[in-house]
Formats: sequence, C-alpha cells, structure tokens
Amino acid sequence: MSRLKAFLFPKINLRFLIRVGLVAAVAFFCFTQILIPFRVHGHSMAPTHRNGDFNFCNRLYTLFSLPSRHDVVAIRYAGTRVMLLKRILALEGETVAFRQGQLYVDGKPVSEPYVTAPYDWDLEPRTVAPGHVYVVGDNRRVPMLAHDFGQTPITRIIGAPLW
Amino acid sequence: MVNMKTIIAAAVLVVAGIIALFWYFQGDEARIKKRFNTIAELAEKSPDEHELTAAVNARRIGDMFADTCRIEIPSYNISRTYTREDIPSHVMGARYRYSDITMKFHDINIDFPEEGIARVTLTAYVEAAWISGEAVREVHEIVCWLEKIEKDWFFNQIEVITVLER
Repeated sequence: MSRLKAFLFPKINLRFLIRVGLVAAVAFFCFTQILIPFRVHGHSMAPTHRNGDFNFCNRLYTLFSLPSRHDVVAIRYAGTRVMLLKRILALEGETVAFRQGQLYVDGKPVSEPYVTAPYDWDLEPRTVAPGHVYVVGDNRRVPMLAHDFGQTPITRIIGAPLW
Repeated sequence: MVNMKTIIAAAVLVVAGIIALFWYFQGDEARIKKRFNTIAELAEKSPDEHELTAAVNARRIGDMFADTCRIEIPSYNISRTYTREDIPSHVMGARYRYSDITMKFHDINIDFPEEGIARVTLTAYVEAAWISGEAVREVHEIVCWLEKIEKDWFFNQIEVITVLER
C-alpha cells in the first residue's frame, strides 16, 4: 500500500524531477524523430489506410531496410508535417505500366491483392530513374488523372507506417 | 514609499518596452515567416467575400513581390517572369474560380546564402472549393527566393518542386 501511495503521490524532490525530465526528453525524441504520429487525410490509400486513420511514421524503416516492391512508405515534402502515403510498385531501372487495370513491371503482370476494386487505368511503359522508386496509391477507383502518383527520389522516403 | 500600484505600472511598462524592442528588432527570419503568414491570410477566401476585399487582398499580395518575379510550376508548364503589376490580376483570376480557400504553410526552412538574399523551402497546403462546390486539396513543396530591399523582403523567384513525376 505504501509503495502504491509512493508511486501515485511521489515526493517532489531532485531525483523525481530528473526522472520526469528524462522521460519527457525520451518521449520528445521518440515522437519527433523515430515514431512520428500522423493522421491520414484523403482516400488515395484506401482501403489499406482510410481517411481519418491514425498511425505512426516509423523512421527506422529507412535505416534497417531498402525500399522494396509493395512497401507502403511516407514521402516527405519540405519536412515532416505533411507527408504523402503511397505504395512502391517499381524500383530503379524497372519499367512500369498499367494496361486495362493491370500493373506490369518489366512487361510481366504483377498481382496486387491490396487493390480490392477493379479499375481501368492505362499508362504507357516508363523506366524508373536511378535512385528513384515508382509509387502509387491503393485506391484506383479514382480516375488516373485525378490520382497523384509517379517516381520520386528514394531520399524523399522518410519512413513507413507502423501498421 | 513605493506602493503596489507603482510596482504594477512599472512592470507593465517594462513588459511593453520588451515587446516593443522585440517588435522593432525582430530578426530577418521572423520577418520572412511573418510575410508567409500574411500571404496565407490574404489568400484565404470565404464564400461571402466582397469583391473590394478580394481586390485589396490581391493588391497587398502583389506589394510583397519584387519588380520582377520568376515563377516556375513544371506540372502546369508555367515558367515565366511576372512584373509586380501582373501579380494582383493573376491572384484575382486564380481566387475567382473558388468559393472557399484556406491556405497553410508548414515546415518553413530559411537560409541566407548571401547578404540580402533568402532561400525559403516550405510545404504549402491548400484546401478549396470550386464555385461548383467540388472540394479540392493541393499540397506542394515550394522554394522561394526573396531579396531584401531596405528592411522588407520581396519575392523574386518561386519554384514549385515536382515530388512525384509520372
């Protein structure tokens, strides 16, 4: 009982203040540099990530793995306050195309289980530049012209959603 | 004998003096950030905005530009130099198509590559509604170059960075 009381109502001494300061510093570092909280705005990644969903951008993704096909990644603009959430469909040097709603990479059809609705996009083949990846959202029900997608430098990838 | 009223009056004067000094000697970085905040406020539009207000806001935006300003927006094939006098009419034209506009600037990073020149990178986040009622959201990374003339900073180059290239 006395332990519980000491936990709930600690004595405010120097040791306690140092402990609070350390916890605050670690939390600040963690949630501004490693796991950045964000909320999804828009329907570009539906149904995988829906409008209004909450998540964390895991920045360790870029440290411990190379971007690979089908990964969902966060792409920065000028900083980390606003990011794009997209899925990598092709890597540098690969040729990407859509024909009647089917993804082709290097001329071979690629299955996309995360795309749940049929779509009718047609995109002429294009080769991904060195140091770039080709990213597209999962929601292909919107007309192709209204959807933001394309190649972007790998250096713009700042992490991946935690779940 | 110093009474409480005198102490409070002195404290208020000291605080007012500090605020005035801070206001007067605010750094270039603060002045530039203020420029962007002002632009965001002036660019915003509500459905009931009066035409005179729109014209005044466009004129005030134009006043923040240098004599000439290079504007590059590769995704819209825009690459040309505008004069300060051109800016208000283009701002009016762009705002006229929307009934509602909100604009915010995020991640404003400012460098001073040389004396009197500032390079600013930022993310512009715009939510708007077309006259027809359809909602639109645009996000862009923008690089702006500003030059200092006397004490104020004026835009002389604006470039929209292509983040996704089809």
